Amino acid sequence: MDKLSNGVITTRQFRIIIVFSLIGDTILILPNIIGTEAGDDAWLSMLLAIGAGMLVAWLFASLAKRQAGHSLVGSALIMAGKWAGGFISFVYMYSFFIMILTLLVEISLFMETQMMHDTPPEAIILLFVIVLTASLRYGLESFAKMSELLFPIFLLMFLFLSFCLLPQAQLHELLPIASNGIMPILKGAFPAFGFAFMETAAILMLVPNLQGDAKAMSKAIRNGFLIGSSFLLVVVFMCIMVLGPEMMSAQYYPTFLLARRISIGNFLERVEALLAFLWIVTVFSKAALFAYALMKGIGEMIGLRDDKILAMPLALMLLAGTVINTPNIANYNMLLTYYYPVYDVYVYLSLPFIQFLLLGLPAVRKKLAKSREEREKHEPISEMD
Amino acid sequence: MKSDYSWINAQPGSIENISVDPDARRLLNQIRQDLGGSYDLIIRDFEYGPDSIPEAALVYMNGLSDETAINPYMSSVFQYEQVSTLESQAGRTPLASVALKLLHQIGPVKQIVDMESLYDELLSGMVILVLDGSESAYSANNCEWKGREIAESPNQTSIRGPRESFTETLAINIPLIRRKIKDPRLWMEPMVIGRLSKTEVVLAYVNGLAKPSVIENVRDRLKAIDIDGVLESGYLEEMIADNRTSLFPTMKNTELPDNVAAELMEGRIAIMVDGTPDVLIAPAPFFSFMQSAEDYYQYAFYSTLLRALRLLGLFIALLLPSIYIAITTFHRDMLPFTMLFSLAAQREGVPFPAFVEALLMEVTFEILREAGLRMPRPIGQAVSVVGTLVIGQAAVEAGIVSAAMVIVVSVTAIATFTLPSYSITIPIRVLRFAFMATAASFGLYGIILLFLMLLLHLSSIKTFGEPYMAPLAPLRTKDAEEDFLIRMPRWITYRQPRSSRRGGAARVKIRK
Amino acid sequence: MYAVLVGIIWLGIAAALDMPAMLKQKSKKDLSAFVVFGLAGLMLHAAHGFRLPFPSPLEFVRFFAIGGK
Repeated sequence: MDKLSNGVITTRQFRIIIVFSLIGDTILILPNIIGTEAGDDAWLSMLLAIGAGMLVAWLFASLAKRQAGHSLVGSALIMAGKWAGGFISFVYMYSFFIMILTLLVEISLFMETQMMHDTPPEAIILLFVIVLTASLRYGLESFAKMSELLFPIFLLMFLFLSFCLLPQAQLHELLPIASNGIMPILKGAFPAFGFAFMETAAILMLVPNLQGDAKAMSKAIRNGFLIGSSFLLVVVFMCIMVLGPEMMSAQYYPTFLLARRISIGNFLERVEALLAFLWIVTVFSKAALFAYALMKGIGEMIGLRDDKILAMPLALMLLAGTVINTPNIANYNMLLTYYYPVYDVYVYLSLPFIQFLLLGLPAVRKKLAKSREEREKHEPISEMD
Repeated sequence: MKSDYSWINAQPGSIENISVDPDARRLLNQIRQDLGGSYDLIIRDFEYGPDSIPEAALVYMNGLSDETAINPYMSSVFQYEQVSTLESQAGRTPLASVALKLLHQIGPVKQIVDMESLYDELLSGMVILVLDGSESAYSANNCEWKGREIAESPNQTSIRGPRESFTETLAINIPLIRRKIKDPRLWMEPMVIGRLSKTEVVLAYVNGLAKPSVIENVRDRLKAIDIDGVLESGYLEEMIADNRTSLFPTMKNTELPDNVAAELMEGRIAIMVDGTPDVLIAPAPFFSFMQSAEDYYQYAFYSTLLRALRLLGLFIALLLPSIYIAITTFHRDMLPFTMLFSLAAQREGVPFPAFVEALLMEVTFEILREAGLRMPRPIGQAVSVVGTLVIGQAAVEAGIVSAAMVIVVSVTAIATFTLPSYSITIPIRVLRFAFMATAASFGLYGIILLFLMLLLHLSSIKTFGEPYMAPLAPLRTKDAEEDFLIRMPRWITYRQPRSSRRGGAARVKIRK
Repeated sequence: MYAVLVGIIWLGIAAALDMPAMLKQKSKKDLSAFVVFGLAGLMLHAAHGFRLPFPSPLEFVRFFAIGGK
């Protein structure tokens, strides 16, 4: 498996990818859920989730180090052999697959209800999948560069929107603190924890393509989590302070409502297109990340030479998955709030944790190191960009 | 000797050397025959008379060689022949020896041993001295032909800075650059490309600044070209460019020597082709198309503003029509009320949907623009932009398009002209139509996604080993901060861009 | 019906783009993987087109009840 077929990414690009996929679809669906559960204490939920998230960051960083230059799937295969490792990898792959399905469904619902009322959702998804496939075929390096390009634009637009909202922020909406007790806060924190932090696990598939040493990698993961969390925190604050907890739970996409509220000098209204751009970027980044992870994982499981050829067939299967799964927004929301985060804990927390422990075993470590040596002998050293 | 031209089709380096015929008379006849009795072929024997055997003869092409040097040469040969004491040196008659010795009077002398070189030299403007009984001929460099004067470039205008532009003659262009970079490390590697045209191509770079891998890359690609003729640098550009399938150019072209000198000093490579004033510059990342050498002649702050303006122009040129289409078709609720009313009123009598309107206007404009390029001078200028406005006005009054559309299209067209380099406007113009089509089908969502796809594509292109979107991706802050958007004033020491080999060393030291 | 059509067109484009390279390299694994996944996608589309009751992959998540919170 030629690691270079997908290219090399710098730590900065890695960090940006993490930020984008952390924000991912969270920004779209979370404010509603967290508002429903925790009300005006949603910000406390978010803080709690961030705290737990940093622990996850530590876990992922350590796991990444222990992977010793292999991807998540690769190290699983080496660690547990073809059958057990294959089973673990299959679990990951399946999870990645349905994750992308989820993202596709979410973006189509979002577009359908907010901006493009008359377009059939299949068309919306098809367009998205086309660009996703293009991203797969161009390679990881191009995707990373694109993310690097987009980040400053993203940041600027986000800050602009936030500043425009400040005049409408009402601090008193944040009080009273914890009026309903700790339970709602925990209930709100759990989905946040799941969507944002646990689901970032796919980045562990990118470890072989990273340029830089283990320390830089850990730093990138940690900083990426921090930066992404700040974005989320700001959004949650804004939602509470500008909209109030009742509106947050009433609307499916509170952030969009936020954008609609922006009015500058009676002229700059309806800037929700800007917001749509931001969230499309983050959802796309997360989808692309998972798609790479999926493609690469399957490639490693089968032992393919060039994993890019899987891009189009996988895209077709994704299309099929969404078409079968014609979503009904209420059903979907319930699915998300109650079932998905638990699933996340199993696949994106417990499984990596187990893998982390197993990779620590000295026998496994030796196997990993040996395999890495062998691979580096056959491959040329990548050119530093 | 058979004149079968088989040697023309043979690969360079593998021809059988058809050597120069020692019999002068036969050789001269051969040359006449091979050139088909060309009008401009001039053969001057030193002896005269139908029965005489020419001991020596001069062969040259009228118009390529300078005749004013030849007559004095011949008379001095005759003079010296009389007083010559050279006796049959190497089997030559006194005339032949003197003729050979004095050949240096005309110019640098080269010995020719095979026919292909003879024709190469002859057709490049050299004077050939043919000696009876000798297996070599000799050529003297005497090229002089009429070319265009160094004048202002009609395509690239500059407000401040040198105006002289390249001409079609390589021998004139090279000194223009030498005068700007007087360092022995400015190397000009000559090459000959093209089987029929045998065009002289020069690879110019500053040895030590340019990355060796890039130089090698360019050189190898040029050497691999096997083509009949190279008439313009565009031929080369097409054949050696990194991405043949993308619309985006990976090499810049310019007519101004100061542009070339600036690029050379940044560690880039210039490819100069004889016969065209357009010089190619490689590698050329995307943002170099947004810069012009003139940025460095104006005040730093002003240049920064200009660059920001160009970036804005780029976005407008690409996206404005599509945004208009998207908003009027899909997202009418995004416009403020008053504007909505006036737009609705305008579009009242218009029979076509916004997309068709836009398409009509844009295509009309492109037609006008192309036509304007080739129309005779006096009319040409007026036609393009003003013509669109006038036609647009008429169309509005006829009720075919709405006034807002005319404005959109005109602003777009003008925005396209803010980009300093013509080659980058081509992909922009083509992509504009793609965006329009996507906007018509998927509205703003489509525009956003197509934009992402565009960024993806741009990020994947490499130009001679450099990523296309450098210095933004991968982010090299040193390059980005000083040269991308903000034009740092010179009194802040700035460093070489990483694309050149030295990378990191301070380039300018200011004595305080 | 459209679903299957889309699937076929998609695969056609995919084949045109990738097949020549794969055939040239004669990589059996790549080719078989491509065919397998491509056909799987096509089957799924067909299943939907013929309105076969097919559970959505996401439904798998339902197995996890509110165990945590």
